[in-house]
Amino acid sequence: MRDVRKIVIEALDHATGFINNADHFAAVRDGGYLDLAKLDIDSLSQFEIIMEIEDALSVELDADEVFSHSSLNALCAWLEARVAGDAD
Amino acid sequence: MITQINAHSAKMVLSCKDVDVADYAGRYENLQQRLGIDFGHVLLSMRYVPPCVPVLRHSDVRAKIAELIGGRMSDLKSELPDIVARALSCLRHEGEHDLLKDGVVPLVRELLGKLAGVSLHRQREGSLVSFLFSQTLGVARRRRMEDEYRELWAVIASAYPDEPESRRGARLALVILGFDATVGTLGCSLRDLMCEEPALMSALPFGKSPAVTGVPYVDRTATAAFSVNGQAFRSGEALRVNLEGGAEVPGRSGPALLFGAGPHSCLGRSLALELWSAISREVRAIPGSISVVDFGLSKNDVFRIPDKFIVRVSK
Repeated sequence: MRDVRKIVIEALDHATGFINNADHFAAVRDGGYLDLAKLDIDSLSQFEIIMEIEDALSVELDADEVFSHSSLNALCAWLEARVAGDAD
Repeated sequence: MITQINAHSAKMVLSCKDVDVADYAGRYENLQQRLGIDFGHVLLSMRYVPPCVPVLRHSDVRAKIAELIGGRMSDLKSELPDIVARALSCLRHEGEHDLLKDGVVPLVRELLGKLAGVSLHRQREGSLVSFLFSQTLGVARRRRMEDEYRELWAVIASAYPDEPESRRGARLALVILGFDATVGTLGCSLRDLMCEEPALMSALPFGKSPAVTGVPYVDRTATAAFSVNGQAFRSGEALRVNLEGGAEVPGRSGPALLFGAGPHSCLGRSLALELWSAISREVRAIPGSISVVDFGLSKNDVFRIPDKFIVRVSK
């Protein structure tokens, strides 16, 4: 079973370095709320993140569906459902 | 951030000298550089697809496509009734029919194949060719699209080994611009005519042109500050020009906007009107009534195109 949350956090961190922020790190460590809008992800970084997640999970994603989720937890929950759906 | 332009200002904005195409190629060049992915065939194609070509080179590219259409127009017009009759023959039989897969798609495939001189029968289900303008497509699908463009260029090159790249590019542009736009326009307009209630085919109110466009908007960029109908735009502003809502009936395009406006207006307008007229004659000559059983639109941020269109024919 692939760890979707770990993959997403790594992809976000590679594109934005967000783990270096103490508040963001705490939210990730505790499973708390992390507002994706606060990461200031530009459009090219969005595609870096999408590519890393697509490659890791072997799925095809669209930018609008990935970044329609406002929080890290919501994005991970949607991706887990999506991966499970593709596997059915 | 994209500024929305409503249909009432669309014609003036599209005809304004201070408006040029959106920088589709620039986006792909940036993606290619940042992600380290080769989008060479997508970028090559963008040199020959008019909505991607800046104003300085635009008229040359457009002339090549017009030449291709003009050279086939006379033959195609005489073939249209037979092509339409073949494609819509399912409507002559009682029962449920998939009007999209058995009617509209084969019709557009045959017509565009003849127009561009390229067999489209190899085009896969779920082809991404016309997602060239999409801003939401992820990276995996963009890679697939690059593969499809590579194959398409190879097919055209092997069929026309002696033609210059610009002529092959014009053939490719017809396939890219024509397929989903025509399937979307025909599918949505026919559905609009048939509605859900059973209606006599002989009484369907076909107008002179399709009523619903498969291209609900086009993207442009302001190259200098200008204003239209009191709305000011700044240089560099991204504009989304909506082509529907200009008519009195909500959701429909005004006849003037169905084929766009300005230097990028549809080169296939005359042929499209002939096609609609041929469809009208064919359908209205079929006895019996027709109703829509199921209809759905595909997920597509550029074209409005059905992915489901089931009808029932009754005597």
